[in-house]
Amino acid sequence: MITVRGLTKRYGGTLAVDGLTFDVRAGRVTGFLGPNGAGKSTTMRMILGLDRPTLGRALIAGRPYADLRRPLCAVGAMLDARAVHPARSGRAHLVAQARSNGIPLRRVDEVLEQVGLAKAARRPAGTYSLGMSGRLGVAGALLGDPPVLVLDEPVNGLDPDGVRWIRGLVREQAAEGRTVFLSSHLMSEMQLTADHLVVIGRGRLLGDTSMAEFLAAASPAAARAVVPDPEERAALVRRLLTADGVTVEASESGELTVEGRTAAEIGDLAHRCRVRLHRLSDVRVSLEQAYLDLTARSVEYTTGGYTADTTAVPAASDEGER
Amino acid sequence: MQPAGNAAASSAVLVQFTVVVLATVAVTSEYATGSVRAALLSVPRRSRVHAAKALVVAVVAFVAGAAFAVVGTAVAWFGFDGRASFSVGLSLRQVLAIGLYEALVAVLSVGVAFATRHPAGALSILATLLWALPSILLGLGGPTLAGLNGRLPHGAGERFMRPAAEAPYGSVTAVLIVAAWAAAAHVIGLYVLRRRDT
Ligand SMILES: Nc1ncnc2c1ncn2[C@@H]1O[C@H](COP(=O)(O)OP(=O)(O)OP(=O)(O)O)[C@@H](O)[C@H]1O
Ligand SMILES: [Mg+2]
Repeated sequence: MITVRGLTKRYGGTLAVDGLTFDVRAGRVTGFLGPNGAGKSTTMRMILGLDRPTLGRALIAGRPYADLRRPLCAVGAMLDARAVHPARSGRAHLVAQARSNGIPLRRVDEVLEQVGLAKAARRPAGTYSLGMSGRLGVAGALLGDPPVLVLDEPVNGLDPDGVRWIRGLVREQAAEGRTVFLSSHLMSEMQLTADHLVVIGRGRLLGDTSMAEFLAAASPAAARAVVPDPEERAALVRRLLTADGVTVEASESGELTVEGRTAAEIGDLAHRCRVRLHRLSDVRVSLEQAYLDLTARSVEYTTGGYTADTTAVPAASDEGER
Repeated sequence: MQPAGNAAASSAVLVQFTVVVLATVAVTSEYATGSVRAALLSVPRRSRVHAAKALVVAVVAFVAGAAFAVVGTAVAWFGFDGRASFSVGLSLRQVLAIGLYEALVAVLSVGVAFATRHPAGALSILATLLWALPSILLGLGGPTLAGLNGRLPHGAGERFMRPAAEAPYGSVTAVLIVAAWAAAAHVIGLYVLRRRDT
């Protein structure tokens, strides 16, 4: 369990993280989303005691990271996969970490095997490919068999096989009751991996909800139906449009896109009016779309765009000076 | 006649160059590669990480300094061919003194390197402190500046590596002066490591 309370980080003039408060609970995968520069990595560094919060605190199982006695056995972290001394072999890198935390050395070979690096283990880490570095990073996170995992873009640079392997790994870890907190920009992957989402933008919390709620909130009920007969199609559309809040779009091929009704409702209606359907399905909004809608609504990240509130302040002061 | 170990002691200033560079790079390379994060994640107590680094580098510097002193003394003894004195007791003392001096310089360098994090910054400070300032002070001459030089790490180091009768203070004081420099750098390095983000 990770507890973040009023966490704030200021770097000179930039407020990288702005009063974040949320919990990362055990037994589920919590995805951490936000545009570039939103403050995800900074938040994770503060959780791991690498950056000092300007305000607020981040606790792991109720304690600050610096107070953990054998930290690698309490939290497994992967921040920057490339942050390994290039002359050290992958194995030597892990051995040093294991020694410092009283982890038996046989565990080093176990995790190297687990991440598929056993063959390259004795080569200098500087010769690893991006994906291999990523695997070494994951090996380091798993080393102490920790109940909490904090992973910053773990699938970055992994091949499709690796991406699927990470997905299976973190889901398995969460199913065992561990706490998993991971960031990623791959929305389709996140949709398959995470149970819960924490979304930030410009350092501020935009959302802290379950994946299902997040998707449901973003998409009103919608469905597609294919009605082969034009007359029946027109009849169905008329019936659908009698209700408020329902919109129907018809494509040339005869496919109807209905917003405000689920597939089940349309199916029932079609049955009642004796309309033949060739295909009927709910339209599910993707996490990508839901995420883009949320960030677009809550501000500004569109390239070169400005928010109402950021432009309002300087504009007002400009006028005051004139 | 001079003791043969003085030759080794005089060139400690050159050995210290190697020690300074190695000690500095031992710290700054961790920042350059980012592996310092792995170290701090494994051992979040900053004082331990800092002390471990200083200890390892100091031991290496001590061994290197002492080994160099043994070789240097032997070479000088044969080279000077009877024009240098040799006593086991004094030579052993000088060998240990040179080792100790290099170890303290290593601790000093580690502290400065933790404070600056970049090799250029650390080496500029160390080169100024260990080479430039002594040359300037001694070059300008005068008892005040020479006295000041005696308070700098290398000036004080000379006093205990090469004990001379006319020294204004004894060997123990000289060791304490160098140790104080090393301790000050260590404390500053630790302060920066604790306060600054990694
Ligand atoms: N050491 C630092 N010094 C100054 N500014 C920093 C530092 N680290 C991060 N920042 C700034 O803080 C903000 C948040 O950066 P952060 O790396 O946390 O974003 P992120 O959400 O991880 O982005 P990405 O998705 O690109 O990885 C950015 O504006 C960044 O420029
Ligand atoms: Mg990041």
